[in-house]
This record gives sequence, structure tokens and C-alpha cells, in this order.
Amino acid sequence: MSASMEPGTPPGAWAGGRPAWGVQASLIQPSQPAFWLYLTLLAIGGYLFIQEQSLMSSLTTAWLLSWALVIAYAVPVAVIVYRLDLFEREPKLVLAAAVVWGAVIATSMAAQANDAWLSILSKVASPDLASQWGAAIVGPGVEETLKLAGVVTLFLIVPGEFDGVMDGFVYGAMVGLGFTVVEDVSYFITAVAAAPGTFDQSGPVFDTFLVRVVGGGLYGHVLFTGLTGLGFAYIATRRSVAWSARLWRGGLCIVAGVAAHAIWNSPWMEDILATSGGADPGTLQWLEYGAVKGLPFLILLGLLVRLATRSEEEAFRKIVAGEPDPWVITESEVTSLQSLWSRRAARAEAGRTRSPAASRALGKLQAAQIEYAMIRSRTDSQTDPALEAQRHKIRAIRSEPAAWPAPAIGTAPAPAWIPTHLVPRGGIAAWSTPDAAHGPVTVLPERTELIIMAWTGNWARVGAENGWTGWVDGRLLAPRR
Amino acid sequence: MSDLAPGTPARLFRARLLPTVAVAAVIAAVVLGGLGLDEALAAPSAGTLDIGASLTITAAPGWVLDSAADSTTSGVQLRKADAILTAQVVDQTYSGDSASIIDEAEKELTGATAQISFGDAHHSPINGHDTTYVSFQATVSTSGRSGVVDGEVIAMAVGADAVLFELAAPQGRLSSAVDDVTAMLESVRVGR
Repeated sequence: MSASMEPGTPPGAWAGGRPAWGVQASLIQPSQPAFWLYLTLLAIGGYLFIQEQSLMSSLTTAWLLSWALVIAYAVPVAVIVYRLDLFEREPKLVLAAAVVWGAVIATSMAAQANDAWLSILSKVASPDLASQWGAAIVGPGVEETLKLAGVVTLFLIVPGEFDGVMDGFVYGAMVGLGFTVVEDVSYFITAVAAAPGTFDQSGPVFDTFLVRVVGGGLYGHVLFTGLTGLGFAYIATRRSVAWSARLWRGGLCIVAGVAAHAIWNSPWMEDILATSGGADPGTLQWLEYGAVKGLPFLILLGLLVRLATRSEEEAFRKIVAGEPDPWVITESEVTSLQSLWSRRAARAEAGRTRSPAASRALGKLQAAQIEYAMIRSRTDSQTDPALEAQRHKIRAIRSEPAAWPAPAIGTAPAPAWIPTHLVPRGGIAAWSTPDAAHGPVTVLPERTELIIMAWTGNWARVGAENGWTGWVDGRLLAPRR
Repeated sequence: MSDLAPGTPARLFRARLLPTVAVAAVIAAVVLGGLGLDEALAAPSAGTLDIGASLTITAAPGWVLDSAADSTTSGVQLRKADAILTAQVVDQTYSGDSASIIDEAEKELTGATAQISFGDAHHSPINGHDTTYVSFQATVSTSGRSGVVDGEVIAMAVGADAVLFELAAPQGRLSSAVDDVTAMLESVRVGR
């Protein structure tokens, strides 16, 4: 178990210059005061949330349709955010807690606070200012504070899960997703309630869905809180960076998240939505409006996530470095594991050039290699039994008929051929399958250089430099010095 | 070993208590602080205003005279956030009922607005005054911009005065003004 598992170890601790990825913490942490804060706020927010939803559900059709639409939007977004975390995927229960914070706690609190602060703005400034700019001033201040408080609370409950900047993005985006889902339902129902007559409950829901989700779905709370969460994680986890620099850079990300929200809520650039004769703006107008106000921040977030991913790639390289067996993971495989796209491309290439089974075998191999890195991250011993078992699993996958024989799994070129063993004096018999019931197919001459590719019991699958492979009694092989 | 030794659960709990209290304090400042401050600050109000020659209305807290109001309007225009209420006496020798005033108002609004739709009219006396109201939704355009507004037209027959109120707010933001407007309708009095 790594040092980061020990109570009192600073959050996000790295063991031996590597992140402790292989540790998955539970959300249930009664010893953490923040856990009790979470539960208390959940009880308060949950009560307000149920009241609000009960009220909305009186418009049954609109309410059910609203939830169906937002869930159809939220599920793929959640999957994308989850999978963007390339190596150490966050515990699902903690991620669910992030979504619940956004959906239940932050929305309920914001509903109370937004009205109060809008009223304060109206009183201390002017009703006109509150009318025109209230949403841009109050909304980001109140909502981003409450959502970021969720990320900070989760950090205080499970500090070990915040290994890097990427984790802050993931938890922030999940909080934002929960918030946007409930806020959207509220907007849909309000649109129905405000429409004259109550005959058509679905029309206003679809209209509002087009505007808020299709037109502006990319630029909402997932973006805002993704940025603020990323900034917070930078401050909290980049302990190798000077405190002032951390505060400055992380603070800028948080400001960017709040600014993105403020600009989105501001009345700027509403000319794009102008129509003749008082007609509703078209979907294209909403798309253009959304792109102009939100795209720059989305691009910024994309760049920051890319940087965070690169940092994770470096960490992954550090973790798997020094593996003595080249058939556990090769340099080219490390490279191909570094993005979802390169992983997918490698599998597609295997499927195209060899067979669908080879593609599936490569998928299993990639998963096993990532799991191997998780185990390596929590142990300093190369001979840890769990690590040995994972190595064995990887060798077994490589020895599957679907995945072998082949020059190398994946698109990457074969690793440099470095023999590890020699045929002993007198030569040894070799078989085409690890089955003594069949006769040997050849006898390998002594001092032939070989590499061991897989083990099955005492049987070793060996390869020669000329590409020949076969099975021998591995106990007879002499290590090459 | 003492329970207060470094690394023990009690010590760790205390060490983590401070940041948790800080988070709780920030949340409380945003939510409870906002509610408390709003309660403590006195809302500006236009006070009691004349409508026509013989009626008065008392503006609810937060409702002020709208600086952007058309100066030719023969009545008052009040505003709170983005909700607007206009009140005017449309006839000082009126002998009909409030439903007739609403009918006339609907016709006038339909003629003046490109897209407007009305709900059903409801009759509900206020302080003994004959009152009818109807909700509407309209698309309005100003300076090349357009938007959907929700609103209510309220007609009240007070003695010989036919009074018309029009409440409007951007789509989805009307509900927060309704209670205030109800209070203001109840404040309508004859005489200065």
C-alpha cells in the first residue's frame, strides 16, 4: 500500500515520484468532517429538491418529458467526461456524489440565494441594473461558489482521489452536469407553465430544449465548473510548484470559469438573435449565439484538459518504466495507450489488418496494461504478488490464438528483439502446442537465442529472432547474461 | 498511545475540521448571508401614488417608478427587476363591468402586438371592486431585438372609474411579481 493511503498523508501524494493511482477510496468516510457536511447539506437540499420536483410533477407530461430529454443529454456527457480520465478512472460512487451535489445541493441552495442577491443588487444599485445584468453578476457568483464548494468538499472527503489536475476537471464537470440537468428541467417546466393554455405540454419543452441544450448545451455548467474544478485541483495537487504560482495559475482557471458563466448570462451579442417581425430566433441563430459566447472558453478548457492529459501520460510512463519483461508492455504500447483515440485506432488497425478477435484481444490487453500500471503505482516491489499475477494475465492475453502469432499487437512496430534466454547444451525439443501428447516438431540447437513470450505451467512460449515461435520446457532454458 | 499523538484519528479529525468549517462558512455566507442581507436592506418603494383624478395605489416594496416610462402615459408605470406594471384610469364615467374592460383591452393589445395570445378570463372581486384578469403571452420587438413576455391584464371597476393594469415580464419571470401585484391591487383606494 502506498504512503498516500496512510491517514494524514497530504492529498494527491505521489509515491516515489509517481501518483498513487491504484488506490480507490470509498465515499463513506465517517472520520472526515466534510463527509458529515455533505450529508447535512444533502438532507437540506434533498428536502427542497423533493418539494420543487413535487410541484413540477403536477404537469406530469412535461415533467416526465423534461427528465427524459435531460437524461438523454446527460448520460453521454457523463460517459465522455468519465472516459477522458485516461488512466485512473474515478470511483463511481464519488462521481455520483459529485453529480448529486450539483443536482440536489447546489441547485436548491442557488434557488434561494440567487433571488436574494438579485434583490440586494436591485436595492443597492438599481432595478434597471438588476434587470439587465443581474443574471450575469449574481448567477456566476452564487452558482459557481456553490458548485466549487462541492468539488472542495469531495476533495476533503477523499483527498487521495485528487491525484492531478484532470481529477479536478472530472469532478467539476460532474457537479456542473448535475446542476445543469436540474436547472434545465426547471426551465422546461417554467416554459410550459408560462405558456397560455395548458393543452400542449410538450411543445414548450422541446422549444426550450432546442435553445438550452441543442443551442447552448456545450457551453453550460459542465464547462464552467470543469474550469473552476481544474483550477482548484491545480492549487491543491501541484505541490511541486511554488505556492504563489499555484495560486496564480489555478486562480486564473477559476476566474475563467466564472467569467465564462458571466459572459454566457450577459446580454452581450444578443443582436445575433434579432429577427424580423418578432419571430422566434431560429436554431442556427441560437447555435451561432452559443458559439460566439461560449466557444472561446470551450477551446480554453479543451487546451487545459489536453495539458492535464499530457501530465497524466508522463505519470503513466514513470509508473510503467523499468518493467523487465518487454512482453508486458512495450514503449510503442505505452504511446498507443496515451489517448482514447490512439487506443481506438490501434484496436481498429488490429481488426482491419488481422481479425475482429485480434481487435478484441488488443482491447483486453490495453485494459490489462492499465490495470498493471494501477498496481505498479501502489507498490514499490517489482515482485509484488499482485503485480506478478497481472504480468501473467498480460502474457496469457498475448498467447491467445487471436492475438498471436503476429509481429506485434497493435499498430506500433515490434519492440527491439533482445534475447533473454539460451538453449542449453545438447539442444531442446520444441512443440507447436503446449501439449506433450503430441510429438515435438523440432529440436532447437544449443545456444540458440530466444525470448520468452508466455508461460503455461512449465511450458514457455519462445520466439527466435527469425520469427519462429514454439513451445519448450521453460525450466530447461538458461538465462542469457 | 495517546489519542492526541500525531497521526491519530482524533488529531486528524481536528486538522480536517478547519477546512470543512471554512467551506461551510462560505456556503452559509452565500445562502444565509444573502437572505439575511436582503431582509435587512429596506426595499425602495414608490410609496402611494395617484392614478387618475381620484384613485391611489400603494407600491409594494421594491417597486419604483419606471424611469423609462413613456411620459405621455396617463397613469403610473412601476418596475421591479424586469417586471413592469402600468396602471391607468381608462374611463372616469364608466358604468359597465370589468369583463367589458378586459374585452376592450384584449382587442387593443391584439391590434398593437404582432403575436399575442390570451388565456381564459377570470373574475375575482378585490376589496369589493369588480375585477377581471386574463393572462397573455406576446412576442415583442424593440430596436431590432425580440423576446417573449408573459403578462396579465387586470381590469377593475372602482366606482365610476374603469382602471386597467398591465403586468409584463420576460418569459418565465412573471411568477415572482404576482404576489406583489396582488398586494398592490388590494391597496387601490378612492380619494386622496
